[in-house]
Amino acid sequence: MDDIKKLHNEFKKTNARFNTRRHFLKDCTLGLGGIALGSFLNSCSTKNISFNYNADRSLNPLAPIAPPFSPKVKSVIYLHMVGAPSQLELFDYKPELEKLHNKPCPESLITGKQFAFIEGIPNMLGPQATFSREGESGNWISNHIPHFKNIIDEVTFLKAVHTDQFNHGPAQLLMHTGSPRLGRPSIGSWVTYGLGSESNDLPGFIVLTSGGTPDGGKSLWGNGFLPSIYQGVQCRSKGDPVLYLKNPKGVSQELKKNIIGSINQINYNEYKKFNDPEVLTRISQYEMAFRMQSSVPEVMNINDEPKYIRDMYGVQPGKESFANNCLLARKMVEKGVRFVQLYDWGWDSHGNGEAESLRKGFLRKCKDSDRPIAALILDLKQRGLLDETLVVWGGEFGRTPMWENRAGVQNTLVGRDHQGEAFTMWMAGGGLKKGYVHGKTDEIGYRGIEGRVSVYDIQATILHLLGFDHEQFTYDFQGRPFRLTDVEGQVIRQILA
Amino acid sequence: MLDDLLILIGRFHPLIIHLPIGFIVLGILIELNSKKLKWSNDALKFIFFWATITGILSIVSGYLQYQNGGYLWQTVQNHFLAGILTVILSFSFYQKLIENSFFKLLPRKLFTVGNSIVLLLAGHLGGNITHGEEHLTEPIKNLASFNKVQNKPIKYYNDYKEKPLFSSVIQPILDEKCVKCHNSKKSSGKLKMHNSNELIKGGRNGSIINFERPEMSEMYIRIHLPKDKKKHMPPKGGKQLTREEINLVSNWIKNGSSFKKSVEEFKLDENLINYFFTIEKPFYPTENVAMPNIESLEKVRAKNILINPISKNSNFFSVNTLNYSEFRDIDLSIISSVRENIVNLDLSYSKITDSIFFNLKYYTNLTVLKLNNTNILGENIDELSQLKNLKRIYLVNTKFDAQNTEKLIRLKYLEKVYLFQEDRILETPLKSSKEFQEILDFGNYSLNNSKQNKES
Repeated sequence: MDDIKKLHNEFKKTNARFNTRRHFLKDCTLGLGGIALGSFLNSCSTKNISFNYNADRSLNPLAPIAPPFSPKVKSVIYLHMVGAPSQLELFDYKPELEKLHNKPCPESLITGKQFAFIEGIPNMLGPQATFSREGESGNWISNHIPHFKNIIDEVTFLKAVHTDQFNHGPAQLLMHTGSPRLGRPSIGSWVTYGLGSESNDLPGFIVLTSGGTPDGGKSLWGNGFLPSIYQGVQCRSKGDPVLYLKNPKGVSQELKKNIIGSINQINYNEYKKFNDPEVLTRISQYEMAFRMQSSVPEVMNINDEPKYIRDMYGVQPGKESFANNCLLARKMVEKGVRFVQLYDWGWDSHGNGEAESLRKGFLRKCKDSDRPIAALILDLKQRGLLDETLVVWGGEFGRTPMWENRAGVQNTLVGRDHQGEAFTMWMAGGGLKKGYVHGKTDEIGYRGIEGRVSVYDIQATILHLLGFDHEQFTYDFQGRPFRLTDVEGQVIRQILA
Repeated sequence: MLDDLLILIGRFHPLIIHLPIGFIVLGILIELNSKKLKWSNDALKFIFFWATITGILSIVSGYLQYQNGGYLWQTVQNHFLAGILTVILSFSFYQKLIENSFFKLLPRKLFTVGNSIVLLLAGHLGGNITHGEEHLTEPIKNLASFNKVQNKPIKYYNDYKEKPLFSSVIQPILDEKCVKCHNSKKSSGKLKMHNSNELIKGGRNGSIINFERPEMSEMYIRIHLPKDKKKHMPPKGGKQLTREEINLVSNWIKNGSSFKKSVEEFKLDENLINYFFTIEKPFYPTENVAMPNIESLEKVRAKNILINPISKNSNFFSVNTLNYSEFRDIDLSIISSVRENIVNLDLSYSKITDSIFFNLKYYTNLTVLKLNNTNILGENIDELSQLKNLKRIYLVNTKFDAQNTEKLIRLKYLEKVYLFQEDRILETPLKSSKEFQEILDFGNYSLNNSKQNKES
């Protein structure tokens, strides 16, 4: 054994003789020069070196930073009506359709078209609502949403939105991630990645659901290929808002504080040893979670609101309701949350069951959402928040002017099938025209004939209002830059104030 | 003591650097004449040895100068790296001269040519630091009469419809993107583009506008060629036309290249018009302010106060004390060093009092002031009457006294004041002009078209 050791030592010594200081100075200088040259050439890039006033993201990945262009709004409340509400019973008034009621649909409208359920020749279905002109703008509004007239002069309608998806999951994914397939970051993640979160105590992107989980699943607020810190945080409106945030039984806040303090101390020692900024990120995450223990219950508590405010929204404390979520959305935006995403499930009015019929389930959805939406807009307005918040309302697509005939037989209850070709969305808030209508559909609301806008156009416009050029706002992944709108999208400049 | 010594050494940097410069220039001269001079090799060894030594001294003194002289890394980095490279080249040339095997294969020219280039670069960049970025380019530009092309603001018209399209938009685009190379003093391809007569006249190959067949106009073809084609204009390295500009110029050519027709007569797409014309006035001030000191921003951030530019390259800032609810009147001193840069100040939920207005009146560019959820009474709010940019004040959920609404009249530039109070009904007692009443928003909106009953 000793011989082997000796031999090994000798080998090491001989080896070391070749790697002397002299060797380094004599033979490696060019290499050193190369290293210096490399960094020198690097700094020769033609990009201007401009001062960066933005906060440093290396320690806190959610640190707020300024967008490239002057923004019109700083937060977004996105109201998604899951299942796709019928534009023909809410905003898109089609008196011509009434005349065609229960008459067979001309074949030319059907051939070559894809439907989710319609087969053969369906009958046309007249509007299941009465319409009136309201507000100073005199825009049409259905009798199903009477409170909407209070805010009709605040919103901009997009009456000819179109999408190429006709099933819920893919259409929702397209609406929120810019792709009908899984794997892309949601718009809220993009925005939080690009702007960060102002509040130290609350997440930048919060999701609230009512009625059920949307068909697209949690990928609708996923981070895709962005760092996971930018994904949406779902707060439950019933029970604990965020799971596992409460201290377990027998653990006091003081104890928890000490535990987190100790963990952070250990992490900090680790950081001093290795200088890895990821460790600091971890420390800030622990601290954020600790602060969220008090800040989340505080912001999620709607009982502190004056009674007349709660009544205006029509909240149902202790229950999971869209009204509660609307009030919460306002509170969150007030506290600096960047993107609040609301999903309200149950708008899929096919007519193949009471809950899914235009004369029953649909009316209940209208009633449950009308008051809170109107209240939300007015409440934001009186607090001056509407100037710097963007409210977006819409489904994943629209509904057909035909009475759905599943498997070729007309549904017993009144309902409409999915339609991507034309549907209505609206936006309200800073930087937008008020009481404006953009786009027009044909006489039966089957396709857009003027001012058609795509889902990508809407995404581009949202980003524009937040201060981004959607074509420049990219993230490098798998060897190429990705953007929310992929290769599509144009800002809808006509609706900008 | 030691610090002062280091500063002193740093101050000698401008002196010391001339030693290696002299050595290297002398060395290169000898090298160029090496065939005539028998002793050249010995001399070069000596010279480049000392060039290396004095070079290292220059780097050290330069570093000390950077450390103590208050320079930013961004300004010195290229100069610093070029300096280091000069020393490395001198040292490796010296190594080659003393027959270091490693450098045998490398041609001597690499060192001489390389050394002259990096030396020039380092010297020039150093000069930029002491005398300013333009100390060389400015007189050169004047000599060559490259007058700086003025960036004419195209936007903010409200009577654009009657204006001639050419003079109001097309010529400014040409001025910005083409005239640099096609003007009365420099005319590449004999083409001048600085006015309509010259445009019609065209260049070496005739007119660039074809009035009979607009699509065959040279100008139309060139701007549509792929960017990597040699004939594409503006040339590859130059400032390119934006998509909208290409669109507009194409529209103008296709519709007969009229120099007189008004914007309206062209029947342009609304989107395109909105790109070039807007009646919207900029919300924030447009005058330039001095750049804030980065250290003072860091000081503000250290207190957990958010401070960020309103957009990436702006010198105007938003400040928000959302995460520092203990903010008191006295804490205004933290941000006062950048007060001229602040356009958007959010002190909601903080512990400020009315005396803050005496200090806020010096925030000359303040445009939005948020004081929601504070104990502000509005006693001295008229102190702000000198602020010409102040457009919005938020006083939601404050102790604002209705009597003080009258004081707001003195703030002539206000566009909106939010005065909604959750716990009481605030109404102005004054009978003033309707315009002023419209500025005040007392909220209390309800869905039943009647006032809220807050007592219930």
